[in-house]
Amino acid sequence: MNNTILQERSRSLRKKIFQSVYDGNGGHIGGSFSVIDILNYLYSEVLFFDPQQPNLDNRDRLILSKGHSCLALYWALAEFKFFDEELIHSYGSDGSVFAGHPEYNKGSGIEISSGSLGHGPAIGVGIANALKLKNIKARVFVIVGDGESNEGSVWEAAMSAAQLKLDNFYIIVDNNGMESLDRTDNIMSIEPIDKKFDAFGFDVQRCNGHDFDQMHQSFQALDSPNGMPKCLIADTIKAYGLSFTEGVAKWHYRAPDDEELKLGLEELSS
Amino acid sequence: MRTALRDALLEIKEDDDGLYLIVGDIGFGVFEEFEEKYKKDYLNIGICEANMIGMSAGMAMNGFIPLVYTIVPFLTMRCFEQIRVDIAMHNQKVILIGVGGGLAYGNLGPTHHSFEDIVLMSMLPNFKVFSPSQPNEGKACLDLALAHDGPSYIRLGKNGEPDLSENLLTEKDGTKIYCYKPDACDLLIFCHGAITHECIQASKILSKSGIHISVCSALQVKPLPESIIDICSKQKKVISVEEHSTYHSVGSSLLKQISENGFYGKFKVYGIEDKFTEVVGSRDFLLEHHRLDATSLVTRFKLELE
Repeated sequence: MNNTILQERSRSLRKKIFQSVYDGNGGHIGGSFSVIDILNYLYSEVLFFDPQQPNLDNRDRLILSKGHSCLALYWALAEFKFFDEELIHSYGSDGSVFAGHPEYNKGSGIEISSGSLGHGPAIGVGIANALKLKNIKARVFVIVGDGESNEGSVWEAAMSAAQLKLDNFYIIVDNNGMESLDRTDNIMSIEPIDKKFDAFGFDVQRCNGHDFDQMHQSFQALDSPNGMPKCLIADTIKAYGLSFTEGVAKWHYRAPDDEELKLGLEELSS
Repeated sequence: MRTALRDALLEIKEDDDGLYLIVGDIGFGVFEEFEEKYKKDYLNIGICEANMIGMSAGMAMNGFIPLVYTIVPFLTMRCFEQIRVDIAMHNQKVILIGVGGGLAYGNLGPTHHSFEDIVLMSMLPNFKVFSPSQPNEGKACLDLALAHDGPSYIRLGKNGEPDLSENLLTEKDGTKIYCYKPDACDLLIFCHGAITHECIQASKILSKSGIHISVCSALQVKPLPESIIDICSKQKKVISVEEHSTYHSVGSSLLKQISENGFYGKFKVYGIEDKFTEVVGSRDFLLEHHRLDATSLVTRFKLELE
């Protein structure tokens, strides 16, 4: 793993996301910036895929259940050549291919339509179960948010994953600590989230979701066919990567103004 | 009806190893043989309908044909948005099988009744909806659902529904005509599901008074077969009798379609009025309460013809 390459890639992806949010006059910057290092790491170091053959039976499946962070997914998929980045440039305009939440048939590499929270884990469990029954050695990675983990359906799926001994099923919590209107702890705290998944029968690791070395160690520790589903709690910061957006609630969904765009692109270029 | 469907499923499963049965901890005395014969393709997922639907969509995305079985309100309403997004929006071939449609779970109370399900499922693009009237239609339902390259909902009654073959005149595309031909009747009854039996009984009683009532039952209620649109469009009087809300029903959809097809006659919908059932009792008792049993229908049909 080359930490410098990964950091440079994340910086470049954040810049593209920021520009898209400006061009499209709105987007979920907060969640896109908190999850982009996780997506970058997974596509760079963990997932098996072939962008030329996006429907390979034995591909690893990535499901972005927190679909509002779709710009991070669109740009990650373009970075890894699933489709041309030109497709993203019309984001936010009438007639655009891409909506503000991902749709499964609108670009290769998008495994499911998401946006309504709490759906990804159950679909992921179904996929992981099907893969096991067909003896296909592929894994399913479902990224959920901490706010999304308020949804009971996340925990229904977690119980099924453990019951079915789906050790090919990974759930990654982009734990950025904030929901739409306030801090998660002030709305419906999910902590201790690692202990919760542990109690639900998961093999659990917890690390800084912006630190590639830590994520690397965590995924290596989780890579065991032990009959247990896997969980990584990736502690992140909402809107991470720009000094004036990090942890600021208004950047959950917003378009930067001209001045903010200039400042943001400068900071992400330096 | 549920055991007939189970038997049909056992028969079909022999030739199709992609079928995967998921039950929501419901089906005592129904699926034991399936479980025993096809252990790998049977899962009691527990009491978690949202999860059950999402999981079935995930399996369908990877080559299985999941059949998902539980009681109607839990199958179709508890997790409606999962059905909408995970199954319908992704157009996955999942077959939802609901047991206890309408008032079939009678004295278990209104949490277990269903008079909204058919319209809910019908509103979802890509879905086909089936409402068998008698046990021997179970196989036809499964065949039609399997032939459809998308999701289906099958609304079953429960058990003990009678065979209706005795009064059958014609059958086409699952549409059955009972008692009198549509072109030689005083009144045409459109119906679907187990209530068809009550309609036929009412027709038989009224025939003794020289009143000719044709009973037309649909197996597929979304989309409605062209044959039903054609038959009903030509009538002077049509009553849709359904074990479903009258507020919106298959009849509402039928009326829209026949109106666009030149129908200028009288049209009514009989069913469960816009309120929950407050009295307690068996299905027969509740049908009488809602004036949907054969005796009540006789009185109501007579009034319509005065």
